[in-house]
Amino acid sequence: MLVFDNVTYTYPNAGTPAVRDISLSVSAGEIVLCTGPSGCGKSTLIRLANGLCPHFFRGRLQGRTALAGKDTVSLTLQDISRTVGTLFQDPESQFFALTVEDELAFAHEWRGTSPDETLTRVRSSAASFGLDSIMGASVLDLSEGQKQKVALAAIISLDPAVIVLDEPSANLDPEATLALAAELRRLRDAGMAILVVDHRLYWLDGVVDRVVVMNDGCIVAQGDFDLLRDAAFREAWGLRSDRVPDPRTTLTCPANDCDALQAQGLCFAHKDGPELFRDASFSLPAGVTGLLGPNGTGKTTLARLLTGLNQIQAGKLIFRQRQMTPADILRRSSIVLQNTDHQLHMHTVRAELALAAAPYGAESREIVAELLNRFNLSALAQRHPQSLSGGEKQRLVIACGMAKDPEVLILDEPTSGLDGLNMNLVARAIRDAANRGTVVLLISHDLELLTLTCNAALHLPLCGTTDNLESTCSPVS
Amino acid sequence: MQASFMNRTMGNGLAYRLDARAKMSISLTASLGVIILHSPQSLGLLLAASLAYGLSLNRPKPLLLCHAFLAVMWSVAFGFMHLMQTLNPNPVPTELSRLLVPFLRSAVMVNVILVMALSTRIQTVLTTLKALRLHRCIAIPAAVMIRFIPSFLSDVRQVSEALKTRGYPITPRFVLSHPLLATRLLIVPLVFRALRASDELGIAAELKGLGNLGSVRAFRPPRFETRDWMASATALACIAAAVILQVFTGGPRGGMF
Repeated sequence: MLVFDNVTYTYPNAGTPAVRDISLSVSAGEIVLCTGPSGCGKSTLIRLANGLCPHFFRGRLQGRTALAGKDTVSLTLQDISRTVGTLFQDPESQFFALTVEDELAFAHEWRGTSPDETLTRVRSSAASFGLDSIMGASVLDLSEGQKQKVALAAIISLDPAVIVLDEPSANLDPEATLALAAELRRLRDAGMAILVVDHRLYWLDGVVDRVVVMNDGCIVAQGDFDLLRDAAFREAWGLRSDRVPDPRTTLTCPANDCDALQAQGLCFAHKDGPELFRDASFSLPAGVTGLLGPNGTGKTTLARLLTGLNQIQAGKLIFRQRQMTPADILRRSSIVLQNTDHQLHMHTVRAELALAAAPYGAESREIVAELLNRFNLSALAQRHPQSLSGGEKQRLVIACGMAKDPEVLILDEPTSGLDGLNMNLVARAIRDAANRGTVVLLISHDLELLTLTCNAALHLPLCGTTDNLESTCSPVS
Repeated sequence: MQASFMNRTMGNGLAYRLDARAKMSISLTASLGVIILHSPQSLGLLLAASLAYGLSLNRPKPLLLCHAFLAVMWSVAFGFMHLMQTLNPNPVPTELSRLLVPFLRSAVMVNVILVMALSTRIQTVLTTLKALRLHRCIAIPAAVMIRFIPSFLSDVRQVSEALKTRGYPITPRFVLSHPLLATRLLIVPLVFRALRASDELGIAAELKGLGNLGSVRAFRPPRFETRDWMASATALACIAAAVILQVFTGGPRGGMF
């Protein structure tokens, strides 16, 4: 169904090919996983499959990419998009409509589908991804996990013959990831050809038929999933683990009498929305506390409330036995949000870190050098931050967050697109900060990262939130 | 795969209930108005009417942000005019009204375009442009431009929040005390985001099969109702009132015309 025949592709103005001599096929009723270290050419492979290379990005293509026997060069992007559905790493980048319902309906409307058929498909895909309650919401206001579900639902509702998924589990909670695995198996059994590009491997055990490992633009190994069982092999190619324990069941809520950061009686509701937190109380000790819960339960909102990016409607914050405002907490904190593009301002990586370390004056030069080294950014010191890859930007914003040696460090999905090597690097940096007495609040669905770093966990919804699910945390008296 | 128990919707003000064609006709009327009108009084009247229309979005923040930006631009222009007058031996006119007119025109257009961009289904915009028999080379870029506005406003909010978290809140005091740093901190990520957003929208449009306007079938066909007629008529009445005000007050000519 999808065939790469000795494909070499070079982006415009690039000196070297992004992928070289790729020969690979994905048959109908088959799931192929492509993995490898950051920058190995996986995303280019996806762009070749959906025709963006060379139709949109131009560049030079040698060899042949074929869909159902037809060369993609001879097809238009409209034709290709009828056969191939694509999920991008950043799902927001593929939205064109403004509300969830419109986004699900959009491509159907452009295909001239009858209104009744469109409505049926929209309702069916919304139901299968649990999106019914947010159909009228703006796609720009959704959590990253919700965006991923909307993007997936939109693609699958079109019933394409081929789907290509770029890091589909990056923002999904573990239960949603398992549900996605089941959905992929169902689609495979229905005869769809599926190419998955992902760093996270554990959830694809028993799902994929074949594994392709890439490095530096080339395929370096192919086989079944057992190929990934060899720890030495994974380490050699910077891959993540093939099996990951679920630490969420063993991570308990931190004691309420800890002297670090306490929140008491927090209340918050979005404008025109239901209450998200009602009389919620919890404590965060020094060390790493995971903030866990399904997509859309308010994890990022809670981090924003603690630092004043959203206004608490009732309740108080106590830090080291003193009542403080969120603005006071923010002054002592670093918060690293998910969208890295908005957090990079300077003309070089070094200058970006120097700006973050500016409060240290004369010492900042040493701090910058140490951070460059610790986050493996030394070779990129003179690069423009906005020219870095997604994983490199992620490491840079985390390094900036750590530059001021904060008393509270809040990280929102810091490893969502990182390979094994860089995920371990970030995990070490988080542990080091915790060992220095920093209160680290880690919002993550990454089970490997949680296993490597967390001492405790807050499970959302908290007791006192408006949802009636059972809480694992008792209220502060 | 339960997504959320949150249920935030796009909005429920008058702006959201109007048909896209009504909003387009209001925008067209407003653009004709700002071309015809040149006195600050009549443009002021039009600004007040467009502001009331803009507030029907129930989203004062984006409006405030855009107007604050225009105010800053006007202040910069006014400051430079004074500077030129100081440096230039030949006096140049620096009446407030002359400088005010272009900004009043911009403010009127900002109000009506924001309503359209933030409250209209993008598919309805495309269907309406199709009904107007516009060529796809005009209709699709026009829709993409309208779609770009909410993305850009979302980027402005996120960049501003990122600066706050880094300890550089964009306050008037900070901007005045560190103008170069403030410009870099705000502008650089916004420029890169804008470039990326335009690229991403282009890709999204291509992969969703945008291109053949003839094949579009809206699953919620737009309906032009009484309130749409009323809104369009009110827009015309506002323009007429502003023209009458200009004729009777005969205010000074300002701006480029």
